[in-house]
Amino acid sequence: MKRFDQQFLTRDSESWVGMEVDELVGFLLPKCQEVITIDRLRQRMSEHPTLKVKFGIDPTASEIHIGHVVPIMLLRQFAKAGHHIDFIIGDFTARIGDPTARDTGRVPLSPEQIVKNMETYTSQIGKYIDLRMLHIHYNAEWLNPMTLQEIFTIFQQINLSEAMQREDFRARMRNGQAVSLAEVCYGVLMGIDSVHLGTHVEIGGIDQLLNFQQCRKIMRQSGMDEEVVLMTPILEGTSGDGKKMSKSYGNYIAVNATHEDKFGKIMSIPDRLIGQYFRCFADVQQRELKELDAFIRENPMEAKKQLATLIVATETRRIEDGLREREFFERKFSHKNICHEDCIELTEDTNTTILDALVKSGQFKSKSEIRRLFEQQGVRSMNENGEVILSPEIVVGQVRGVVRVGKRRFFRFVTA
Amino acid sequence: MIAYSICESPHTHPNVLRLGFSVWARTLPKDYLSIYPKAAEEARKRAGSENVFLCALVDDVWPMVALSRTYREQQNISDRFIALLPDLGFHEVRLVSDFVKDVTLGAYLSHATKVTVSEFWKLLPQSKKTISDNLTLNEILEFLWHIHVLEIALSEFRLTGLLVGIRSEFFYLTARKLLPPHDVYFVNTT
Repeated sequence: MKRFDQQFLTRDSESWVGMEVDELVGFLLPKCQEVITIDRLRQRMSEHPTLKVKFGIDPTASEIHIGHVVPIMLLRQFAKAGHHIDFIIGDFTARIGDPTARDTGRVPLSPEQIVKNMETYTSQIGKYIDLRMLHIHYNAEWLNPMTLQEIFTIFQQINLSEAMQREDFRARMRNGQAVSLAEVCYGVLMGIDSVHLGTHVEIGGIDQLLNFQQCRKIMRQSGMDEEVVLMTPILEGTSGDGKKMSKSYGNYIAVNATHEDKFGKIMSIPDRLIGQYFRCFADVQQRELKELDAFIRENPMEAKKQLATLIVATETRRIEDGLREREFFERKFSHKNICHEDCIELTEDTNTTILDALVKSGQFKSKSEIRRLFEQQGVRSMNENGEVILSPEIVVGQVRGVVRVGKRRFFRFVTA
Repeated sequence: MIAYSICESPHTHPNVLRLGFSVWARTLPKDYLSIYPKAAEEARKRAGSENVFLCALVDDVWPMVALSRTYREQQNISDRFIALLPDLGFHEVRLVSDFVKDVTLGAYLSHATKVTVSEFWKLLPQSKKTISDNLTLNEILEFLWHIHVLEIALSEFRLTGLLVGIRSEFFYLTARKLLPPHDVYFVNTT
């Protein structure tokens, strides 16, 4: 069986300094949904042995999920190839709030929140990219002291109606949502960042397209070459309903989740997402995609396990960590071989219903959460004859074997 | 002369009005400017105040930026304002460049988070809207700058309120959201 997980993880530790342009582009493109433009990217790479690559974030949230890591994985490829990475922390722009893909305005952050969020943020992305490879800048450093004259010169180049007519703004206004003046200025401020840093290449999610267009315009009007923009897709969440990964949809995998949780959640994604996730999190060469896609098509379960192994192992750069989770997962789910340590033991009176016993276990937020799991036929006893769907009224004395509640919780009942 | 007023200044004692009037330092529209001291007097009577001080806030910074004037050109124009305004009945004349020291983006951009695009569009004069294809983001910048100036002036000169032309009604109604409580007297200028 082909082991893509091991192949990609071995590649992870390679240095790509001095790599041929075509070879590097071949690694970058599978991660991109759109590039403006590929020809310019190749040209820039040929002209500048060390490109200035910009990636900016507004520290608006402290806890991130792996969807936020997708552009970081692309950034990492540039870092491996020895390019200069300018990592912008939007402490100035965070006070305004990026309007991108928002239904409503963002709440501007205080300086204290920004510092706190940044500490948590960098500790999380540090799992995926060596922070020593980043040149970290805070954009308040150059935006804050800009004089009226300086900002006037830039603002006069941007048509007001155009800036206010962005599709996302129009959609919000149609829905009766407010768009603030600060949000209208946001893309321009991003452009000032690029001018200040002399950016050659900028990386971000496809949802940033309108901001990137503003950046390119500002650079052009400032007499500079427009930056090349590489945009990554927005990662679809685990639930398979087509929604983007988001905390608010509950379909996310937290960067700070345990390896077990990450592995389990990757295993829950629909098969059609395996290819997208591989592209986002592995260093896949474009010419390998055909083989990878064929493998996924023919062995979706195996491919998913390799993907989960890879994502877990990428954090620690040790394949053993991924393989350990795989082994644990297979023991629990594929082989239905639950060992003692996997189970929570509950000692109850014979006539106690398992609903009440589960409530008492303290493992669930509420009784209704458990009831929902029963309704969804998600409470089953597992024994040598297979799985039996349980009802909430069944008493502890009647239960045989291990009881699985939901996807990943196991209980063993002992009568008092 | 005064169309209407909104009074919510906390500075009511002693019973003296200290009103600010903001003007761009460009060519001097004498007839237009002379309306304001009269309006200030009317405001005093309406409020039953003992006295009124009208302070002209002459913005000599924005025109220098927006019209690319040299410092010398601007100074000549400002000097004419300083000479003329007291004769027209203004009690104090303050140059913005003298009391607004922080002209950096960080000082005034935060106001932009509190004003919506729809509100802003409403406060733009009709004359500008008809040529909206030519408008730039500097319309927003001018607005923010003006709020910044007023915010400092209200505090620096302990103004109780502002005397403003009714044509700028939406501007000053929006500004009330961003500035500390103050009186506004809207003057009919036509």
